[in-house]
Amino acid sequence: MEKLKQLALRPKRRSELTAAGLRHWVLAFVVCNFNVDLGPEIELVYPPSIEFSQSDLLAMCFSSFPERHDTEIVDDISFQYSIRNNSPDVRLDSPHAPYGSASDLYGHCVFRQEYDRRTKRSFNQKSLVLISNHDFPALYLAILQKMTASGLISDPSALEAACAEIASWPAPSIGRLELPFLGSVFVLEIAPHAAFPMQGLPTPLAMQQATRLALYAYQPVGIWSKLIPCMPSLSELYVLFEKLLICESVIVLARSPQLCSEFVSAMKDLIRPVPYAGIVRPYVVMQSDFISMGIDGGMPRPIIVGITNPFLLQRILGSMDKSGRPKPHVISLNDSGEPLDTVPLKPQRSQRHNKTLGAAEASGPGKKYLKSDHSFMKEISNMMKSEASSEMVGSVVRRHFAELSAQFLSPVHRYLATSMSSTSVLSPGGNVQYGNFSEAEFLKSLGKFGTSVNFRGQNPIQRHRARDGLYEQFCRSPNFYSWLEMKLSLEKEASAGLLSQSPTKPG
Amino acid sequence: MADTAGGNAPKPSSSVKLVLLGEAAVGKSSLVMRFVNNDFQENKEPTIGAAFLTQRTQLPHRTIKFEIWDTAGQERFASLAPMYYRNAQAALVVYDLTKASSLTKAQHWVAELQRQASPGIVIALVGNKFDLVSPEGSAAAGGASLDDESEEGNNDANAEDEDAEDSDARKIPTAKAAAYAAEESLLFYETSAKTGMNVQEVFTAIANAIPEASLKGPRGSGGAVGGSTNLGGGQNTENSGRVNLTGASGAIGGKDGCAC
Repeated sequence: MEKLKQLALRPKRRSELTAAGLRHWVLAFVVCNFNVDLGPEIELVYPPSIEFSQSDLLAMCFSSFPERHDTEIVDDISFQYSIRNNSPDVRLDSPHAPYGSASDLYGHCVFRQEYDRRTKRSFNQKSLVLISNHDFPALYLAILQKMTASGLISDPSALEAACAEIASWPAPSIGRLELPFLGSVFVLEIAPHAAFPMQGLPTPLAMQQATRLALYAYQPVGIWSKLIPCMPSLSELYVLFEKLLICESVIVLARSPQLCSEFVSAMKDLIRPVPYAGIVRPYVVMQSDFISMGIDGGMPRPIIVGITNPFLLQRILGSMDKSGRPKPHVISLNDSGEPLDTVPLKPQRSQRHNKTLGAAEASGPGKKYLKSDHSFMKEISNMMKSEASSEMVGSVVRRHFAELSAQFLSPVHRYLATSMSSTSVLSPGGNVQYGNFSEAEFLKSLGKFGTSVNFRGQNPIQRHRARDGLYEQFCRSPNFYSWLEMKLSLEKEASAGLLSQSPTKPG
Repeated sequence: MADTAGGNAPKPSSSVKLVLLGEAAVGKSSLVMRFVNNDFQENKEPTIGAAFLTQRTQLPHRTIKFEIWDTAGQERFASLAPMYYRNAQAALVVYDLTKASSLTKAQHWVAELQRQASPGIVIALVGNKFDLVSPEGSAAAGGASLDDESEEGNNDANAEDEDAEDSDARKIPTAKAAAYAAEESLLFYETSAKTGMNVQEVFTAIANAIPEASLKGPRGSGGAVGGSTNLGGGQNTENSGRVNLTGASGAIGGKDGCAC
């Protein structure tokens, strides 16, 4: 606390200047300490001028620690969470796109546990948290790793230096930015939209050049080669893809907040360029605000939520059941034992996964529409066995699902581009309005031209039924509108010539 | 050799990470500001963490893009220094030639760099605030002269300076710093960020002293190789008068770098 006061005593003009520049990227750094007698507490907020509400500070406190006390944790663990912004005095301002979230705060967190026999619990547990209204997980993780690499997790000088350097960065803007930070220069690529597919996948050219490796603002932090061994089966990827595509709710249950938040991050990426339109909460704890998630009251909305507490699972399932909402899909990840070298292709009725977390009914209904690609699953399975590089596995998975998404969307694109051109209205801004989109017309066009996506079914009739079912669900889901909105805004920007200036290309 | 490299092909360009270290208020940021913007500002606020700036320097055979990390001199930031000098190819260790303790601090930095930084790092020792010592700037500096004459010249200049309460604002004789620099194979210059004296020269000398092998990016076809640093310096007519001593010590530094 003394250090905090020292920092607060610095000349005001300069600190205000720093805070204003800093806010474009980072609202604040928060150091949380686990006090054995009192529970989690805020040790330091920097810059001290930021005015988070008590409820937000409390939410940060609880969300910044693993829920389970695990004495085996030796290395730092990093994870993400998001909370509703309940701090009316925290101004979110960005001079230009990307603007960040107006409603949510993103917490990026490094937790460290150090053995210390003098303390009651024999451990010192602290977390360094970066709070922002942007969700740039790869960049923020790199920042936190740099700050904690020197040894201390909460070094006031490092905090001050970090803030001063970030404050000198230009505000986030679409395209490529070079951001000097604590002796390194980060290269950050910000895509025109968060849902651009295949961000951060190294192109063969970039690999050859071995230049500074760029970070992509929206690239997922989870790596499939590490996540897949924790999954019950490889075909589960298709289940998740399908659920997310039609904006259903998914609950991810894992032991560690790192695994559940990384899984959420990687999972969202599967359906890109479709932006998941529901609420995404990579890590929630017992004390989290469930009403803002539409659980235990509030507006019911589809949700992706990561949890580490089986009791919380019961509570969420119970609450959603009581309010008559469809049963969410639950995936329980196995990160308790040693990683498996073989992941079954198909789900097995074994106890392996369910027993680890003591979670009853850990799996919801399976996929209904899509047919898994057996050769793809076999390829991944072989790659995992042959210890192919983790980038390779991740890259194959991400490319496969990006392709599947593109195949799925192509009939919609075709319909919007051709069938509607005669009836569409051009708004004064040159914007094509799709307000008169007709589901029936679209399905008719789909029946005529077909799709290259493979659907389940013993015969063509069943497969067509599955196909129409999935497209119908998609067109009725909030995802369809979030995707359409993205498409419209990108088309608008493209016609305004804005996109031609940004060299950001996916993949 | 110069002719073959200076043909129609564009000069190869490479980035060099350079870090400035030294006690607080010796003028690190001012040196950078002079080098990058050719500007000077009295009473600059202390740097927090580090400032990052870039500047290109043209050499006969190539272009060097300096990526400059101007670190905070305040003691509370000292623990962060390893992050800044990590992978640095060059360092400017700055002291204030009117403040005796600042050379001691500079020597600590040099020792730390030699112990912990990249093996081939080119280090320049820079005594700043020469303008306070000799307003005319007539006395020889820039490490060119080790001989007693200039030493006396300095003393004379100061003796005549009636404003100096101390009778001698200079607390660190050129010879002392130069001897230390020679012993440690450092480039050595006395500079004034205020007048601009020797500022460009320091960076050019560093650019010349970087072993070509350690440069990233595309390399030139012909041109000098690491060991001929001295020659490169000599060809640069602008500096030729001043680089005598520096060239000698710089060459040692360059060779050391190559040997690793």
